[in-house]
Amino acid sequence: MLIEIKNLQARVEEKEILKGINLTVNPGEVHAIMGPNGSGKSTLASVLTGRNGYEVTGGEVLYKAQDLLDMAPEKRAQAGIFLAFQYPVEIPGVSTTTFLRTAVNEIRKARGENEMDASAFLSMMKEKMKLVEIDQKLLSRSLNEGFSGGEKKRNEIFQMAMLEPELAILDETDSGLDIDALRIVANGVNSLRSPKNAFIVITHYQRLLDYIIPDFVHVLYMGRIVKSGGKELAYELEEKGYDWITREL
Amino acid sequence: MDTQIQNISLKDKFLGFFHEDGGPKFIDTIRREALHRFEELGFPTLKHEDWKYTSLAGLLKMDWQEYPENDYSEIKQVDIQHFLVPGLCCDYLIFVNGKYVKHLSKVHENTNGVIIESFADAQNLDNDIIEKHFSKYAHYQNNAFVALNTALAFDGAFVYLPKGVQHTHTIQLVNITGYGQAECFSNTRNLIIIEEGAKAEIVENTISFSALASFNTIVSELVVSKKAQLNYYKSQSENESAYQVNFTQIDQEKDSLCNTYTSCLGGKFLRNDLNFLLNDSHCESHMFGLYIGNKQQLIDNHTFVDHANPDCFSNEFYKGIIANQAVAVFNGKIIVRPDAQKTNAYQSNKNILLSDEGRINTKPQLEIFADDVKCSHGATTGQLDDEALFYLRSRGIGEEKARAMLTLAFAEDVLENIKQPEIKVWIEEQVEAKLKTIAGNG
Repeated sequence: MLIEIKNLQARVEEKEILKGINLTVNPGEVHAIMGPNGSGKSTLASVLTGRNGYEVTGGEVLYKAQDLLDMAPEKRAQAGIFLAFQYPVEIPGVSTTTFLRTAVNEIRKARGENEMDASAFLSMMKEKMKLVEIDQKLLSRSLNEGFSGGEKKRNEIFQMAMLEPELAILDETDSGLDIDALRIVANGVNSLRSPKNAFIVITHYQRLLDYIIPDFVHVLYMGRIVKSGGKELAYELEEKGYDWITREL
Repeated sequence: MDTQIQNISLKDKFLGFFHEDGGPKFIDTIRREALHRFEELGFPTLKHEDWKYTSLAGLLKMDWQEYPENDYSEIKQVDIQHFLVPGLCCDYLIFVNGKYVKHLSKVHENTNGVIIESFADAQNLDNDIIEKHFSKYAHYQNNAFVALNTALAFDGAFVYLPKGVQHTHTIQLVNITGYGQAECFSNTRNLIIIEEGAKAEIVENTISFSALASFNTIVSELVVSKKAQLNYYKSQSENESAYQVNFTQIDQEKDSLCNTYTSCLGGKFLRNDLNFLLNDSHCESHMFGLYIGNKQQLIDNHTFVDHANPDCFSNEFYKGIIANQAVAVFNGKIIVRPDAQKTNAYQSNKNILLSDEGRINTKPQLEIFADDVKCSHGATTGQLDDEALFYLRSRGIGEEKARAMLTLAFAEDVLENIKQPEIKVWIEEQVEAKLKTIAGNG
């Protein structure tokens, strides 16, 4: 078990959003979480990564047998969790390269490894850049500044490639992407899949799952996982819409 | 009323510091008039609009004395090397406790009439130029500190660039304060004349020799003549017990370009007045500033751009970082006079507060009397962006380091306007060192 979410309940500003999530993810697995707007998809991602403003009101999350909810955001990242943001923020004045080098080294330090020197880091960057077809020019600029939506999403996957997480959470990575950008992003993710890591792919539309083929699909509705299945579930949803599920309940 | 008595006695004490300094009669006359005016004005209080947020109480409580006579022969070159900008070929004048120290200074020989020397020497050697310009720009009638400085300053820098001279060396004016004796008071007076078509780069830094308290007034009058260009860097990094009141008046003539860069990192109490008079058409002025306050510092930047003529362009960009209980004041005044058509005047002041106890007072002051102008101003005060912080932390960067990265990025926004690479690196390193001392406190 990589991560075990047990009866997780959470609220935002007095409003209950997650009402008891149960989910277990093992290494090597890709889990898709689908659901209509307002179902709690982003809240789940935020709670798992430790964003401010979310209050856990019940349940627990064990990540590699540790109490995840007790860990600061940077500790979760150092333990191998990565979030590909739905809306990556622009940070003027902090270059992508500098930022990534700091991140890589902070994570290595936390694991008791040596920091990477400049040339080793640059070689790794060159190698991973090819995975998401990201331009060198973009990386010497300020983080995400002036990036198009597609470039921002590709930058997320690029960072994922550089940081080599064990559990990657993709928060609606496909939103705002055209088919070509989608394909590049999906290829990037697929090339990073291994028996040692796992993915939670949060998405509204089935389309992404044509490219990133999940092992499990879960439907999140009003703060609960109401149905789980294999990848066929995604096609059923595409065909019948979310109403099909909600009517069944 | 204890403070009243204190005020009076410090004023009287300062009045008593006046003595003749062997300069020419016209300077002596001006000094005496200024002294008289200081006596009439007295120190400003919180009731004065320009001193509303900046209390002089701390300064007035101290028992300031004059520095003892000293030729500073015990100070060696090696002691002051680290005050100079590394990697730059400079002409530099070193002042210790307000007095020019020749054996520590170095001015390259030149044959094109450039004068870089002590004002105390210049007032007797070059007194026709001095008589033409001295006290013609920084007026003491309504400013007590200018009056005080005019009356008491006996030295400073005199820089003169004749017509057309592109001076290739950076001119560095180093003010070392607080040497040898605590709680002393000095005054520095600079006069910088750049004639038609000439070009200069000047770095002025004030720095403490040790941890001793000091109080220093600096008044600089600069003339940037027709078609001339000046890059003027002010680096203020005194110790935590230093008080400085700095008044700079820049007169720009037609088609001239003047860029100022002010970096306020040190001192207990720092008040800058930076004034531009655009005295003819087609002047261009850029003012950049960065102030970083920590602990109990007070940093006050007052700027004033007088668009007295048409077709001029001014752009002001100041940023502030305030931590702990520090206080910053920014007051940016712009006047566009009735004949100043086709004026472009821009002002931006952005601040971040790293603590709950810090304070920032920012006030743009625009008075526009012409109708064909483009003016804008903006002032913001905020915290570090939460979303940006979370983003960095979600990548494994610890909170403290993430805050440091974002704070440095905020400062770098101003610093990237420094084009001279050696000066840029020099100031960046000082800024990084200052931010490191703040880290962990907010």
